[in-house]
Amino acid sequence: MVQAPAAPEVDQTIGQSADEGEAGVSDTACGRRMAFSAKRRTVLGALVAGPAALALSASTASSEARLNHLLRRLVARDLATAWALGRAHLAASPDPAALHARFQALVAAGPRDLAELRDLVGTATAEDLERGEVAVVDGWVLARTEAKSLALATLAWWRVPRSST
Amino acid sequence: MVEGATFVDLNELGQGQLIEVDLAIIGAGAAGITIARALIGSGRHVVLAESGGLDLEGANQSLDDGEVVGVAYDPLAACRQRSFGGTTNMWTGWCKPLDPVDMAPRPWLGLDGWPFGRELLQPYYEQAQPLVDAGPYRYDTSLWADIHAPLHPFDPRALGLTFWQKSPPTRFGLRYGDELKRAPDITVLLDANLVEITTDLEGGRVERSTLRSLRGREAFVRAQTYVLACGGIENARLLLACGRGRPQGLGNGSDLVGRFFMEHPHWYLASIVTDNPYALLDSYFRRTVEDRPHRIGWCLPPDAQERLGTLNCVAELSAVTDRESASNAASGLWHQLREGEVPSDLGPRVAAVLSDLGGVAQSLWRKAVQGTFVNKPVDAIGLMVTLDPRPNPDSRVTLSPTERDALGMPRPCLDWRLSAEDERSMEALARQVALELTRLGLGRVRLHPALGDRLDDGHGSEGWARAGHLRGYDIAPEAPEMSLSWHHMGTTRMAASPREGVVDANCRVHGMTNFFAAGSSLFPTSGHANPTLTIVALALRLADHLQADVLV
Repeated sequence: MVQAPAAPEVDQTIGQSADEGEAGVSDTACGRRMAFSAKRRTVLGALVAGPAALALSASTASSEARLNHLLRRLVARDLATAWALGRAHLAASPDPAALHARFQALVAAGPRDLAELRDLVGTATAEDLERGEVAVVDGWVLARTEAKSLALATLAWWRVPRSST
Repeated sequence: MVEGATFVDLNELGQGQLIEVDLAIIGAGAAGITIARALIGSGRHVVLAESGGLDLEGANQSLDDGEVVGVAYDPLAACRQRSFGGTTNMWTGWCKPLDPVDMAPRPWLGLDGWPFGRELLQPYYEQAQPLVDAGPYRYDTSLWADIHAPLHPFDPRALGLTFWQKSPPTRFGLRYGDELKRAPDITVLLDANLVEITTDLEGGRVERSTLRSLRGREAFVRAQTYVLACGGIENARLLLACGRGRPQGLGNGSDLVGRFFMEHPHWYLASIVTDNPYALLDSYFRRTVEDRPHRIGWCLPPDAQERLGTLNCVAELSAVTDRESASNAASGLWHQLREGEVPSDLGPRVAAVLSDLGGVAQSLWRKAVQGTFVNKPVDAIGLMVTLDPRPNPDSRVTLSPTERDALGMPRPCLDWRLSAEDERSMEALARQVALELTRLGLGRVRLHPALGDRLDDGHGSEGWARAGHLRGYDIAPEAPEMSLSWHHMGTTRMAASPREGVVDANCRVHGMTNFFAAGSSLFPTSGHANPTLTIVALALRLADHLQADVLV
């Protein structure tokens, strides 16, 4: 599951801010129970690939295999979060047709390396968000492309070539 | 009148003394003091009766105890105040007028609204503003020009900005006590508790009210006109309990007294993750305009409320900081040393400060130079949603069948209820804010698990708000925690028809000729705004009506 850090403490002076109510209600303690919060970069890191783009191995046989490879690299920095969200999206939105269409679109686009895949996902994500096309996955509000990419990446990890396992 | 004195303890009067005045105001809080002030110099003799004294005393305050059933609530004696100035002695000063949509009919919710439009209240809001020592009357987006922060292109069809201003806060008793003392035609009675209202045979006219001190001294007030201004719980309790020979209470022909109790609870319904929390907080958390703090929130525009079938809730950001940070350690250390205290763990705390001098310097820079509200390292940002409660007849104040106070009066029993529409409205707003923040790239938003993974208007966990997991009272980590605002509203609601409300558009108790009510108990709907400014505006309007049409 997505990491939930130890409940953070609320700064007293800031916490009073939230409402304080007409009669001096302080909601400072509320923030301490925000156990559903997550570290700042947890989710961002799940989508934003970490290291420099990796060139594809010449041995990658097919475009689909190449894409699966890139999808795995796309989420390599925070697999736990990516898998949690990917599996949650697969469980909540079992729409194989839409997922397949997204996969085929990516295959057709033929990203040669991780940088190109990130650009593709990034552009589609921005377009989704502009159109308000989002999905809620385990509470996180994601662009549909992001949700689908996480689902595809999760599946990709179960399609790892035998030699790689 | 009481000759030669303007502030009198009831215990100083002769037993059974009769006080004859033009106007008797029961309750010296924001509403009662405002009405009394408005009548200074009018030539009318006014008595202003306050249950408490000039200062808070335990015996008086214990009269505010009561039972709580239904949704959890704080002890009733903790969230009100019986002393001269009433609950203004404990308010935090946030001011906000109601939105037009709050008072208008909302057919999508089956709500009739107020018996008059928001525009009628506008001049009274503007008069109320200086009475609470707030700045110029500005609550619209024109404020943004003076906020000097980036305004992101939120979709105006999806979200609107809304603003609060801060009163110092004004303690009405302290602020206006001297003025009332100097007023020759105003008598303030202290330790004067209303225990009985005597009407004529038909019950349409108040003939006399009986006041009693905790020491048993009684006085009678005979007035041309009476105004009940004791707060959202007490107004209902007194109407139900004080009608001599009228077991159903006064003004209760339609069994509405005490019903439609409303509050402004709030929940943290999402957390926001961003690499630059200050950027978000500096724009939308709080800002100083003309040296006064302002709060900023997001609402659904009225068109969106109608489209989604929701109430007028509001969402605000809240900063969660790391208590272990060097900046927090420095701040705590500074405050203690300034008070002359040397903490026993001085060494570790100094070490904590030294561990991140850069962070401490940044905090100091933000506080001292930039004047920002959030100066310490931010660990998370919460999204707090405050409810515009749907009026609910089953949410009510009744009289306790068993409990009585020191004066022998039945204590109130609060049975507060929340509705499915309440939950749905807050969910819809939280999701809309989440969508817009995500769309604009201002942060990643995680909705509380109780809301589920749906983006339509469906529910997540049914009943997450109605469960009433009150902060500090319940351990329910899977449910969002509720905090209260201690805003008590709606129990003597205003409506044109006696079948729909307890008082009419002029605040007169339906079916009675000389009995009026004032305060937030009159609100037929309450929006999300803190009620004090509206209480004062309504009181000013009632004072105008009394002078022009009643006290003649």
